[in-house]
Amino acid sequence: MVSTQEFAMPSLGADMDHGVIVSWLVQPGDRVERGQVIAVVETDKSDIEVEIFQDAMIAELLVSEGVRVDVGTPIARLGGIGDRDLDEADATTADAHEASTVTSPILRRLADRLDLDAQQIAGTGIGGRVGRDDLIRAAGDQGRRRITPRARRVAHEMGIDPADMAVGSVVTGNDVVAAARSHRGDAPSPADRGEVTPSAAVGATTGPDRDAMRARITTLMERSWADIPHFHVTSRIDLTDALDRLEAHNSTVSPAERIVPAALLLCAVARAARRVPEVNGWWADGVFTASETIDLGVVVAVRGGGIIVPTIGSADELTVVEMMDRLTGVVGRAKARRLRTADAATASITVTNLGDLGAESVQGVIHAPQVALVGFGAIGEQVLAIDGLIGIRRMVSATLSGDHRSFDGMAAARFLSDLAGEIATVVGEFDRDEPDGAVK
Amino acid sequence: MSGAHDPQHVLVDALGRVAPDIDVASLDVDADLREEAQLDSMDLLNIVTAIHETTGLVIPERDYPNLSTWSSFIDYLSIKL
Repeated sequence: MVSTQEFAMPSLGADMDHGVIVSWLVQPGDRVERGQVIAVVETDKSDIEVEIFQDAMIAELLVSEGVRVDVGTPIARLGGIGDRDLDEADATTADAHEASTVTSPILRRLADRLDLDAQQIAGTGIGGRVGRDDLIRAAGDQGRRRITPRARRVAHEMGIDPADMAVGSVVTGNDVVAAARSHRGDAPSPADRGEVTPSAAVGATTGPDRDAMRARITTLMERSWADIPHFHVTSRIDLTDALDRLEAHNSTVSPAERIVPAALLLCAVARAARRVPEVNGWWADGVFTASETIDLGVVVAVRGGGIIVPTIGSADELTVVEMMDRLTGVVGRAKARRLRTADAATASITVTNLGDLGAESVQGVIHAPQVALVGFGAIGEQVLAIDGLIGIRRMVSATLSGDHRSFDGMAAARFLSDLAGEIATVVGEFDRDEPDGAVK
Repeated sequence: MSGAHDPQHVLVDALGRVAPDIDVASLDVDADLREEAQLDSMDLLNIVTAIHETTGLVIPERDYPNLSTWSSFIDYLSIKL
């Protein structure tokens, strides 16, 4: 039994309609493993490395390099899928139309409501699975409904497609908000959301095309600044003990295994955001929707100007060592202007670490529709009074930029207080991870 | 292992990996290197890691103040390599 499958141009964000194959990294006849990068695709935001989600053999490349194709267009034919277990492969093929193409009950319900036949939809997700994007796109193809201007605007803010509305022939702004809420409540997996939500990569571009990056940053910042009544709350956090611990670790490992303070700060932000959910989510049309997961947008300054904001998903679950690993990955890819699919997922809160380049403090602009941005200044020595004594401590300023429509100074202050506490917690775990007790 | 590696060559190579767009010849050798070359802490770590990989030299974090300018960095490498 020969099992072949088509691999379609994936959707790397709901606002992606098409992509250009910049280069193929495989040739017909190549065996590929799950997770292997098989092609580089240029999107409006950045170059993105496209991974394959199953072991297979590349039977045929259907699209040449440099050609622009719509999302969902088959770009390669795969053979030898599941060679390790042919029975399973056959079973998968047989079940595919019933179970595999639309695996999530949520999506199946959505397909029903949209009167779509899932079997007729080209899946662009993992293993050819149909994602929410695919359904939305298919619904759009099936018959255009009237969508009010406000609905469009709200949908744009929420990062969802107004065609994704299980309502009548007219979609209103309230429908969009209701649907967005129910989506968030559905708690889709990070991978799922990565497929369906707009990329957090603000301005990656290829080659010398910096104007395009600038234009995207301009659009985002203008919208954020015009729409969001910002307020800023700043705390100075004593990092002395935490940095001592970090440096003790760094002195015992090779340079490649060292941890930079930013990894510690990101861990602490993610965990504080878990404790203060008001800061972690999206605002649209008068309603705040908390995110189920803590997905950190990390602002990376690109050499030569501009920023790219890759996402570190489920960041509150990471130890500082794991965070350093993830941070190294996304920063390296962002600076090389080549992200992975998962890096382009939507963030629920963003962190900027401008202090790394020497700035004392940062009062950043929130990335709408998020409601908060955390800015860290430079870590520096300051004279501090502690318990009636004067000491020299290493301090950092942490500023929370908040959307005042969504939450107040009280929550911001609580967040910053928790942030300081979480730094100690993160470092405490770090001690446990190291049985040799490297403190000197 | 004195003399096994040319400090200039080592630093040019390491910086080139992290900041390929930098024209080393145009750097002010006595200015703050991190500002001149727009290096963040991750870049600096990558430079130190690259030097470790090419020469075996481990630069401890407490020596980072010695790396603040191009000329001090070179002086440091000249002693250590």
